[in-house]
Amino acid sequence: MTMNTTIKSLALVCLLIPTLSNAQERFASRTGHVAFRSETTVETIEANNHKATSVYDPNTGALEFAVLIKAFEFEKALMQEHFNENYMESNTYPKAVFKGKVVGVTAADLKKPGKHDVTVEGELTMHGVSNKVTNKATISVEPTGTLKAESNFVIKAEDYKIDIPSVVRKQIAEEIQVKVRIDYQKM
Amino acid sequence: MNKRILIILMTLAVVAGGIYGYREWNRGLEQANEVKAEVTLTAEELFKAYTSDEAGANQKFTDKVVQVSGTVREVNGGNGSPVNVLLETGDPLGAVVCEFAADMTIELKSGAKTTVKGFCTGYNLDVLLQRCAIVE
Repeated sequence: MTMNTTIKSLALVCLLIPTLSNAQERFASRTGHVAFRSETTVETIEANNHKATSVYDPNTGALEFAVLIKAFEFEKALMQEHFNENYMESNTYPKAVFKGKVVGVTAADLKKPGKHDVTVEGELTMHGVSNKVTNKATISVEPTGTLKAESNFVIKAEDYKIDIPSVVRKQIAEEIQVKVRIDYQKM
Repeated sequence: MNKRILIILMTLAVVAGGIYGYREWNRGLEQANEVKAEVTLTAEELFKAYTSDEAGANQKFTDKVVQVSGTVREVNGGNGSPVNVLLETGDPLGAVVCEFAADMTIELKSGAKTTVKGFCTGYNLDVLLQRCAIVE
């Protein structure tokens, strides 16, 4: 390639970049908040993770999501140790990942402020097990153009082959309540 | 006489066991300022270790108290969420993210040099250190 054609193709790429990125405007976050709660008559256990990563493309609806299991923090050290070592086996399965799509909102809807009820469907993988999941969520478009997404749902330990020994059944709920809050910025 | 001593010793053992068990059960999460760093390196080296061989880096650094030095890219968070200090890695797509308690005041500006230690919890686009403390 001569110098001249190199410059020409570079100029072409520079011209194309803004239109391409505009057509595929995506949203991302690296500070998503995922909280879960196990509630029994004996004990309530809560954990928080403030570093969920997520990418959302309103044009295709595609949504991806990942959290580090070890990044969940509990009130008590022993709970966190048991969670990682006995239940989630986070050395072997370090991440929980969701891949799927958002249904019920269009890219045009997300260009103006407002709140939308949506459905999120896809595959959730953790502890080496993948399951199809469908959950309700809301997406709010802020006046600044950023998105706030919220979802509350339930995960059953047994669906992910997480074995809760009978000795601690009274302390740990079979159904875990999960809360997700994400502020998306334009990429 | 011997029996009495035995009973006293056994009672003491049970009480000590109970206290130990109770304290162990209620033990809070360790903060990095309470412990010595196990590994020391630069933010760039730590990030490269995870991006070139994640499994190997997990073996070496995850679950350890890691001390990193580097240049501040950005400070964000707060307002009820943890405060994050992002360190430069030589790669614009990822940082070493040092998470501090929500009520911490961090007086670092982007471009500043710093050394931070924290509990390394792995790599998810960024390398994450939690419950951090500023060393210098």
